[in-house]
Order: sequence, then C-alpha cells, then structure tokens
Amino acid sequence: MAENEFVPNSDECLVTEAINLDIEELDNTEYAIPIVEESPTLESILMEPDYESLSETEDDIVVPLGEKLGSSETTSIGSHLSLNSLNKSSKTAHKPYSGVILRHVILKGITSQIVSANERVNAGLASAVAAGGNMLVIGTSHGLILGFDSSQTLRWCDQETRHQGSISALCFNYDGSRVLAGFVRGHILMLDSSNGKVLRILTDVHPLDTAVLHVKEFCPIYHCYCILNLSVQSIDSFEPVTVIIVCIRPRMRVVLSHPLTGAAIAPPQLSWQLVVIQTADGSRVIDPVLALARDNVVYFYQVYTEIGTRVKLSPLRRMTLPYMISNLRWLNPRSLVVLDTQEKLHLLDVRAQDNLETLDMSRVGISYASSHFKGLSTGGNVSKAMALAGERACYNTVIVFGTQLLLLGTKSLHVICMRTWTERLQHLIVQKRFPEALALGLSFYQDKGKAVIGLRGSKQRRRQIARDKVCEVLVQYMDELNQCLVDENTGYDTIVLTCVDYCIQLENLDLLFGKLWDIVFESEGLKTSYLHALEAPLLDGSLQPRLPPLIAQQLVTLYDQEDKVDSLEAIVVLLNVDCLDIHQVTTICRQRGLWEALIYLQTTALGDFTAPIHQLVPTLQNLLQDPLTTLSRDCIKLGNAILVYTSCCLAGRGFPKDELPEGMPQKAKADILRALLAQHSSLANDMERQYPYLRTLLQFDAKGFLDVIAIAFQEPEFTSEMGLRHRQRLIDILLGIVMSNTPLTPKNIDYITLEQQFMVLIFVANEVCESTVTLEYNTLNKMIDILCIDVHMELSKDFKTKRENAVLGLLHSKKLCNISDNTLLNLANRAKFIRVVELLYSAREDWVAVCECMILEPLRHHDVWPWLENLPTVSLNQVISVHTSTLVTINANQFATIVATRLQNKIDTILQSLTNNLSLEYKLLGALYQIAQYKEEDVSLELTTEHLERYLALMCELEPAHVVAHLHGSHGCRLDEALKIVQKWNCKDAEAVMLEKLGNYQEAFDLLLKQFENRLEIYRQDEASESETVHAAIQLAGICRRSAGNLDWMPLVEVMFRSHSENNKQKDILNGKLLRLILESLSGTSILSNILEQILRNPSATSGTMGDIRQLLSGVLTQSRYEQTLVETTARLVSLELHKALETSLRDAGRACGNVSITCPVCRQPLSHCSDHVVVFGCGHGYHLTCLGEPKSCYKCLNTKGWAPIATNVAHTRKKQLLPPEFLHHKDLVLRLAPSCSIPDLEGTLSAKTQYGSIGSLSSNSPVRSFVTIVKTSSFGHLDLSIGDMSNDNGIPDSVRLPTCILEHFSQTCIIHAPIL
Amino acid sequence: MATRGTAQRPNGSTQGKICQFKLVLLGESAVGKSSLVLRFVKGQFHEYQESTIGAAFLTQTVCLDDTTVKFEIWDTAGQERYHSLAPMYYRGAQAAIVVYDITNQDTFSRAQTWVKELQRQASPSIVIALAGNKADLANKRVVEYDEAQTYADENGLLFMETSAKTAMNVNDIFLAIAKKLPKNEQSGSASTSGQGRRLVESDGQKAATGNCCK
Repeated sequence: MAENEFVPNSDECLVTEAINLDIEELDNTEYAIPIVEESPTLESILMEPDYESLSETEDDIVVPLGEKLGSSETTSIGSHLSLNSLNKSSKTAHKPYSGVILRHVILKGITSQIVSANERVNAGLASAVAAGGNMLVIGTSHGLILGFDSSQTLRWCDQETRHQGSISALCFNYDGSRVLAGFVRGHILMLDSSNGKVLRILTDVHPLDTAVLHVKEFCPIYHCYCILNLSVQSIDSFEPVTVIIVCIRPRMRVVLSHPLTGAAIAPPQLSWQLVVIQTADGSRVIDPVLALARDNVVYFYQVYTEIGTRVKLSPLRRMTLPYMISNLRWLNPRSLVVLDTQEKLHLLDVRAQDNLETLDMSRVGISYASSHFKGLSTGGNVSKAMALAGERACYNTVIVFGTQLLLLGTKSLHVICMRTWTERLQHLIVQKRFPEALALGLSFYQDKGKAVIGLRGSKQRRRQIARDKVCEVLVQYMDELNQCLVDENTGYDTIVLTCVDYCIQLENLDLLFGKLWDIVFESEGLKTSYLHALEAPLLDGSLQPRLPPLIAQQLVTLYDQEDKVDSLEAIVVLLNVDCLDIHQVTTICRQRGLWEALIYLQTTALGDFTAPIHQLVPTLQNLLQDPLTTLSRDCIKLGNAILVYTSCCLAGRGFPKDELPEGMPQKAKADILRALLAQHSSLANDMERQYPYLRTLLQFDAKGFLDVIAIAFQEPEFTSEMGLRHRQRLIDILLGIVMSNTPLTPKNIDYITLEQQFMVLIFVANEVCESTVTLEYNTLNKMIDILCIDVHMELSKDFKTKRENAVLGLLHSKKLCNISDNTLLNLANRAKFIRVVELLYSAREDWVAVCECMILEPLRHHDVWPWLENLPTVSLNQVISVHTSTLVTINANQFATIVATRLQNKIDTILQSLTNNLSLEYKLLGALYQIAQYKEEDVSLELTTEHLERYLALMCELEPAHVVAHLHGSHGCRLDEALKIVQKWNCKDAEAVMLEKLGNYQEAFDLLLKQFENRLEIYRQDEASESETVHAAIQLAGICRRSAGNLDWMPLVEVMFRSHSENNKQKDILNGKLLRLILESLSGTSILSNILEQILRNPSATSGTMGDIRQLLSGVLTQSRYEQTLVETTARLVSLELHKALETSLRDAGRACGNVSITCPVCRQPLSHCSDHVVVFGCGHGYHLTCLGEPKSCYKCLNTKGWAPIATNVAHTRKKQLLPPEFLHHKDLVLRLAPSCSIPDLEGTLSAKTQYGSIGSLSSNSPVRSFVTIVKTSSFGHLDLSIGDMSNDNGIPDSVRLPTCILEHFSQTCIIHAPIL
Repeated sequence: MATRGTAQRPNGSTQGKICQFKLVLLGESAVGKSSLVLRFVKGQFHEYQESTIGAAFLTQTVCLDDTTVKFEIWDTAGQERYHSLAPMYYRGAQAAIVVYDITNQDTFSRAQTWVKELQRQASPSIVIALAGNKADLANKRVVEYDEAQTYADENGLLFMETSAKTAMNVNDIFLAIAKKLPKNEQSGSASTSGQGRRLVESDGQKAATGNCCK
C-alpha cells in the first residue's frame, strides 16, 4: 500500500499535519503515479499549451472519449458487470466534470490499455483495481491482471488464469512488492508486483466455487494476509447487518457489535482513518476513527487503548445523509468521500458535517461487483438477499490511494483528488470567478476553510501565507477592474465594493489606499463607489478611523455634494483629526449646521473648549429670536449639541465620545465654566445683558440646562471647597438672571418665561436644601415669594407640585426660619400649597387645620383617618360637622368606624346633614349597618329601627337588586313597616319575601305567580332572557317547598301547562325544562301520584311521547330518592352523634376520680364530714354538694367548667411494622427473565457447507493494521478466517478458527473486526 | 463614463517611480501661505483669500526628470490660536516651506522661530525652504533680500522670494524642494509615521502590466 499510510518507522504519535505533510511531499517527489506528479497549475497550462500529459485535466474529458469507449464495447459476459447501463453517459450536453474542490481526471494511458486489452486479447471489462508501491494493477472480467507502472505504461499482463473467471478482488501487500488476486471461482494467486510472476497459488484457504470478495494483507509484521469468503445459505429474509469488531491479539474477543439497518440493497461500508480528535478538555489525540455506514447513515467510532492494552471503541457521532450510500472512503482526516447510488460523489467535511461538493460520476461507468455477489459465474446459487446486497457493491473498484480516489469504470480508470488550496483559488481565478475566489481565500485566512489541503505550518504562518495569496488574488481582481475602465463594464461598483471589503477584512490598508485608490481615482464613478464603500467599515469600526488626507478630503467633498450630512457628521466625528482638511471640514460644517462635528473639530484638533460656546451660543441666540414661535429643527439640534457638549466638558469627558487625554479634563472643565460664566459675549453690543450664554441656554431649554448643571455638580470640581464657591457663584448668577430687578416684557429678547423661572428657582431651592449654597435673606424671601405666586396661567399641575415640593424641602431643611409663619402661611394659601399649609399648621399643633388641609387635598385625603382618630372629640366634632359629605365620599367605611367609635350620639345629626344627598346617606348607613352587623370587640353600635328602616327605604330606591338579600338577613326592621316600604317602592320579590316572613304564603305565592306569568309572557315576546325566567320559577318552587303543604301549588303547574298551548319548539324546550325543574323540586313535598296525574293529564307538556315522560319521571324519582337518602343519612348521623356523646358521658361517669385534698375548699371541713354527697371534679378538687352553688363548677379552677375528664394515659401500643409481601421474604430470590429462546443449532449451520455464496468487505485499508474487518450479513452461516503467512511462499497458511463464542455471535451477526498485534 | 474610455492607466506613463512627499507650510498669518499653495496647485489667485481654519490639505504632482513627485501639502493656519496644531503636521513631513511677508519685519522674525522649531522638533532630514512672499510689493519692502538670503545660507535653507499674485518663483520653489528631496531612500521618517508613503513599484511588475496594456 501507499507508503504514506504505512510509514513503518514513523513516530507513534502522528499529527495530522505530519500526515498531510508526507502526502504533500510524496505528491511532488516520490509518488510515481503520474496523476500525482502532475500539478496542473495555471502556469503549467499557459507555459506548455501543447503538453499532452498522460493524465488529463478536467477540460479534456469530453464526449468523444465516452463515445470511443462505448463503441469499443464487446459483448462479453463482463457487460453485465456494470449495472450502470441505466444512466450511462448518453447526455450530450455536459458541464465540466470537476468541482471547485475535487478534481476529476481520466488516466488516459491506463484507460486506453484497458480498452485495447479488451479489443485485442478479449480481456473483458475491468473489474477490480488496486494500487500500491509504484504500481497499479487492474483485474478484468476475463481473469486478466494488468500491471501498470507510475507512468501508466503496461508492465506486465498475467493471462494464465483466464479460466478462473473474473477477478473479484485485488490487493497489494504493504510495501507494494506482492499482489494478491482473488477470482470469482475462489482461486487466489500471489504475484510479484514488479514482473507479474506467480509466486504462489493459494488453494487451501478458500473454498472453490465461491467468489473471493476480499483479499487483504493486513499485518506488515507477520506478513499475514487474510482471505475472506463467506459461505452463504439460502435465506429468505435479509436481517439487519451487524458490524462486529474483533480484537485478535492478545486474545480473541469481540470489541464492538453494532447493528446497521437500512434497505436491503444498501451495502454496508467500513473505512478507517487516523483523525485528530479534540477531547472535551481541549487536548488533542490522534486515534483511528472507523466510519461505518449503511443506507444513509454514517456512524463514527473512535478506537483507543485504555491504560493497558485493551482496545476500546467509543461512538463519536452519527450523520444522516439524504441519499443512499454505495461507497464510503476517507480522503483525508477531515474529509469523507461518499458515492451514492445515483453515482453522485459527495465530499463531506466530517467536523462540520457539511456537504462540500457533489460531482456526477455517471460518466465513469463504475464497475460493480454485483455479478460476484450474485454468484453468476458459479451458478448463481446465492440467496436473494445476497444478490440484493451486492447490487451496488463496488468495494474493489472504488478505492483510495493516498489522497486520491480511484474509480474503476468498466473501460476506464478515473481519479478524483482534492485540490490544494492554491489550486482551488487558481481554478476560480481562471474562470474569472473572483468574488468566490476571494471568499474562499478569506475563509482560508480566517481559518474557517473546509477541506483545506496544502496549507500548513503554525497558525500564524498559515494566516500569513493565506493572506499573501489572497492579496495576490485581490491585486489580480483589481487589474480586472482596471480592464473594466476600458470595457465600460457597468458592474464596476460592486467590484469596488468587494475589493474594499476584502482589503479591510485582510487588513491590507496599503492595497486599499494605494493600488485600489490609484485605480479608482481616475474615474469619477469608481471613486464615488469607493468612497461610499468606506463608510460602513469606518462606522462599524472594522477600518481604522485614519484615512489618507486626500481620500478623507474627497470623501468629505463627495458627501457634501450628495447632501448626506448625517453620514458626513458621523464620519467626521469618527476620523482622526490629522487626516482631515480642517479648513474644508469646518467650512462645510458651518454651512450645513453639523454642530457636533464642528465642536469635535474645535475641541479635539485645537484643544479649544471655549470656542464652541463663544461661537455657537450666539448662533443659538439668533435662532431663538426667530419670530416663529416654535423652535426650528436646526435650532433644537444646535441647542442640544451645545447642551450635550457642555455636559460632557463639565464631566470631563470627550465630545461626542471617548475620554479626553490625560490632563485635558481639568482644562476642559475650567474652560467651559469660564466660557459659560462670561459676563458678555465676544461680540457684545451695548444692549446686551449680563451673562448672555447662560441666559440663552436657559431660554432654549431650561430643564435640560439645569440637568446639565445638576450632573456637573456631582463632579469634584463642584464639591471641593473651591468648587462650592463656584457653585455658589453659578447659583447667584442664575438667580440674578431669573429675578432681575428690572422686569422684562415678553417682547424683549432676553425675556425668561415664568416656567423657566420656576425651574431655576426649584433647582436653586434644591441646592439650598442640600446646604451646598446659602442665600441672603432678601433673596430667599423673594424667591419664596415668586415660587408661591398664584398662577392663573395654564401651567401643568405637575409644576405646582414641584414648586410645592421645593418650598416643602426648604421648610424641612429649616432654611426658612427667618420668614415668619404667618407670611409663609399667607403665601402658601395664596398658591394653594396645601401640604405646606399643613406642615405649618402641624408645626403650630393646630391639628384641626391640619386635618382640614388633608381633607382638602385629593392626593392625601386617605391618610386623614389616623389623624381624625387622634383628634380630641370636640375638634373631631368640629371637623366632621363641616366636612361630613367629603369624608363620606372619601371612605364611608372609615368614616362610619370613626362615627361608631367616637360619635355614636351624633349619628342623627350627621345623618341629618346628609339628607340632601341620598346616595351619601345610603353609603353611610350601609357602612354603619355593616359595623352594627359584624360587631367587632371594641365597637358596639346599635342602630335604631328608624335608621334601619330608612336604610331599607334608601336601598329600595338606590339599589333594588340588593333588597331581597338584605331582607333575608337580619334587617332589623319591623316587619309590617318593612312590608310597607317594599310595597311603596314596588319591589315585588322583596314583598314576597316579606309576606312569606309574615306567614302569608298564599299571598306571596300569588304575587310571585303573577310575576312569573308576566315574565313568561315577556319571554314569549323575546324580551327577557331564559335565565331570568328560570330564576323566577326556582323562586316559586322555593316558596312552595318552604310552605310545606300549606300552599296549593297546582296553579303553578297549570300555568306551566297552559303555556304549552302555543307551538313554539324553542320555547317548549324551556317549558319542559321548567316543568321538570318544578316537579323535581316539589317531589319531596307533594304526593307523587298527584304529580303523575298532572303529567299524564297534560301529555302536550312532554310532547306526548313515553320517552319524555320517562325522563320526567326518572328526574322526579331521582329527586325523591335523593331526598330520601338525605333524610336517612341525616338521621343516622344524628343518632351516631348521640350515641357517641352518650358513650363519652358514660365512660366519664364510670371513671374514678382522685382527690387532691381531704378538705372541702369552701367550708374548710374535711370531706368526710359530709351530710349529703361529695362532688369531685375532674381536676381533682372535691366539694361538699351542699357547698357547691349552681351551676356546679370548681371554684379553684374556674376555667374548667363542669366535670373535667381526667386525661387517660394511652398505653404505647407497638406500632405495626409494614412487612414486605410474603414472597419477598425468601433471601435467595433471583430475577427470572422470560424463558430463554432456543439457540439455533450451530452444528447444523456449520456443517451446511453445501451451498456457497459470499458477500463481504474486508477492509484493512485502515491505518490500524491490526484489525480485520469482515462484513457479513446475518444468518449467512459460518465464516472461515484464514490468516496466512505471506513470507512463507509454499507453506500452508495457518488457519485460525475463531473461538466458539465468536462463532456463536456469528450466527446472528455479520461484520467482524479483528485486531492482530 | 465616456471619458473613461480614453482614460489612461494611472501612473501608466513611462517614468520609473512615483515619490510622495508630505510638505507643510508654516508662517505668520496673512503672509500668503494659502495664496502660494493655491497658485501652485490651481494656478489661481484671490485678492481676498479667506483666512484658513486649522489647516487645509491639497495635493499637486510635479514631474521631475524620470520621477513623479506627488506633494501632499498641508497649508496650516497662521493665526496664533492654531499654533498648537502645527506639530501634528510637520511631525511626519519631509519638507516645509516657511513663509514670511517681505513687507513685514515681524513675519520674518516669526519665520525664524518657525525654522528653529522645525530644526528642533521635526524630522532631522526635513527639507526647509524659506519663502519671502509678496515680492510684487517690492516698493513696500522691509525685509531685505540679502538679509534673508544670509539667514537662509546660515541655516541651510532653500530661499526664494515669491509672489503668489504674479506667480513669481512659486513653481520654482516647489521644484527646488522636489529636487532636493531624497528619492531613493526607502526608510525615511515618512514610512514610520505612515503619513508620507512612498510608492516605489518594482520594475518587473511595472513592465508586466505595462505590456499587457499595450
């Protein structure tokens, strides 16, 4: 086999890179296989256009070749070797064979030899191929073996064994010196690969008349080889294939058994590869990985040795493919090649599980081994399953040699190999697919490339190499762009965009600003695209904010021309100053109003923090004077920019982002403060008032500006001793501005609105509260005066609260001690600052006033109750007398509680005062009623009957729906009065209730019945809902039942039946329902026979059918049964309870009582001195009966009343232990499974050697030479594993019989892997 | 679009190399720095040139024998408040023109301080030229030619009296600078700062692309 795989002396620890390295070197130097020798780079093609190498580039594969092959086809038996006749190349239109990654080449030399051998010596079609050393052998269907050397020349041909039929398996030994050839009739030859001489004929190892499906030399040390044949019995079913991996040394054992399911036609696949595996802890190990596949699923197993020598397999992953696998080979440790049954070749990246490329292989005409599997040459005595499984078997025609995949067609030999990364790039470039090439290159550069071959070295080095290469590509692409200029190609801007993008991603700024710029500079259109392309990377930070000045200048000009001011501003703010043409940018910013950019330039470039204020605030002032009342957008933008700038500077941060460099923050803070506090602007006229900047900013956005100042006050510059002085000064100035001595008219440009004034004052007040600044008495006085102004203007409520809060804050912090209470009170009253007033009153301890204040304030009046409770009764009376209605509105319940606890005697007065507001009176009465009803411990309230009747009357008036419920409860009214009231308010339901209470059932019933009839009538007219009617009926039924026979309820039923006269289906349903309801509820009270009679007399009610009657009756019966059960149960419960009580009494009575004292505690006489009886209580105290009063109770322990029972000591009964069930008691319990299934008769299986067929794949192509892999389908019978010594040329091979245990396994499984050490 | 059809390849002419130099103009305000550059770059002259803010950037290419010299000109503002900017521009510059007004003695002394600052702060290999501008106002001359020439000789400066208005000596002074600048040296202060790059294309590449174009 290839040296690169069997490097005998290489280190134990091969790294992937090392393996790749070997391959690469061999590719170029040692490999004698021509295809590998030739590296078809662009140069070579260009340099030697006439070069006709033996191997072809993809472009050489054209239809005529296929036709030539086709025409030479003879009608040998090999013609059915290939099943591929269905999709054999007959298409005329074809696209290039090769993909971007995979290169497809026909080995022309060998192909032509195969064809000529077929034509001249009737060699048949190619059926197997093997490569090793520097030789390549091909077997044909007529038993010829052709040996080719590396230059594709035929070296020898072995024709001796023609009679043995088709060659079904070929294999090289590890150094390529010998070849094993297996024939379809079971013949096996060993040849010298250099001259084709037959060295040995192996006859004993394989039963004749069985196709040799696999020969493998698998142990270089012992020169063992393994020949596989599988005896096959005829079976009908094709059970799941199982893979068995057997470790042969040190002792034979099964390592893995893995079932593979899939369609019957899918052949099982095995392939080995050394793979670098990243373990969970990040370390990397190199272990052989076994890929098992069948149908469309691939399993990966890692083989590793644990400490010691035990070989283990652990599953790695599972991959499901969307096609059926026909062959599967590793191409390199990361890539797997899969040939599907549609003859599409798929390149898979194992790690990412991606399908990287798909190639159509239908032109190859792959030679399938189905005839071998079908045993056509030996009589076809194989099972259907076997034949099916062999349908797509191409184990010996699709093989891997190094990193190349050899595909043997019936008349040609094709090679697929992966391009190296440079070749892939080149491939794309030649086709002018630059964007793809660049994307690919970038993926190499970013180490994300897949199936990368030939890129090696350290990670850093790889990046460097890839970068250089991609840059080269980029340069070529740019040259392409250059061509574009001449060609007038319109797609140039995308090219520019791509170029810029890749330059940036490759971090190649020299290229970006050098070559590319030079190219685009010439053309206006290109330049525009280029400059636009720069925007995004600049903004997202992938490009350094440093452009060559010329480009920056052009960029600014372009964006200015295109009116993209926002983008321009963003870019200018981002760029470093030293690459900007400051003059240009400043001019544009001024024109366009890009204030942020302007400020940025001035501060960053010039380090001048005052300039923005000096220049921009006057601009703002001018904008503010605009006659338009609303602020223009520009104005707002400018103002906000200034505010943010001010805030940033005061906080010592850079504008609009980043931090200022070392030492700058202090300067910035000082400068900005100085600028803000400038008494006059630089271009002041005589009219200008003091502090124009502060004034302007206040006018612009007082709140925003004050926030800025508030934030700035957090800085150390304003908290130190010096800072506090600054603060004081600033506050003084602000106050000076808002409380100027000469009031201004709103017309004046310097006018500050009241709102702004308030804001400043509130701000100042907060500062004063925090004691960071102090104010003169006069100033403070004036400030309060202004704050407490009674504003008639429509100012927001919010504002009032804020002002109030400010004053409150001042009060709380005791800053207003100098101002007299009365003055403040007046001011607060004027401004309606109730909380201030309240505070002042509470300071005076005028609680009544405080409470009144609270009542007046809607936000806080809920807090008034505790205050009211604490007021002395007189004051309370005073408050309540004035504010009764308000208080009731606030919370009637609370008020009622207070009245009930404190002012019971005043209830009448209070209620009197509410007579003009019925709802309030009702509310209060309701609350009082609740209190009276649910008496709490400390409140005892009795309402007079008048009150209660008044309450009922009000309820009838205001909430008639609640009346019935109220009357059912303890309404406390005189019954006749209540009846009168409800009659007065025409509450029929309530009236009925009252009548019933008075015992006048009949009247109540009549009333309700009348109402019910009305309701029914309304319902009939579709004006009342069904539930209402039902409710009325229930009510009626209720009264009938309660009357318990005093009432003749027949009228009700009659009404019900009468209503049936009209025919209306839907209504009838309701009627039936009502009837049932009533009858059911009445069944307890009336005689059943009466009911039955009624029902039978009115068949129409039940629509006459017996079924309906039955339903009715059953309802009635159920009801009556229920009631009967209820009665019985109740009776039983009662008697049970009685019985229990009696039992307890009896027990207590029969118990002896101990006496603790011998004297009676009442008369102090000994108990023995007794005239009548001695009574001993449960507590142990005894008394003379005569000494005890009535009721009898123990005087000593008053709480124990009556006969206290003595607690009995309950004896500790042993708790019953829960024991396991009986059958668990036996200790010798064993788990019994279902009866074991009978094991098939092995002897029989083994002896049945009469019929043979074989299937299998023996894969020792793996880097682990110590494994034998045998594929076998289930129930195929026994297996001979023959291990021979190849060095012994004439010796009989040692046949190793597998141990019985494994054989046993065999009977149901099918694939074996056997490691030999 | 149409014009692009006839567009030449950039730098596609026969000269062997392209040199790119960063040049900075320094001097008191209103001595005519901007006018000088404007004359050199655009051939224009405005009687009332607005004063420069911060610095302005212009480029101009001159051909010198077989070399194309590309000037990246930073025209700094003369006003006092922008002086802090100057180091940013002369730091990576290979050439500087210090301009004074021959009708104003103060500007000359200011120019001398600039020269001193350059000698002290800028790259040691910087080529400094002294330009006495407004030579058209010779009747108002205050600074004598000899005085300036002597000073220039003492300090190894290029010296010319120029006039942006009449274009006298304007191109000459730039050409003189271009001649004096080293054109082969690869490692200047320029390449380290990344500001003044010099693109020297390899001959082979040039030839190859040149051929394919023809």
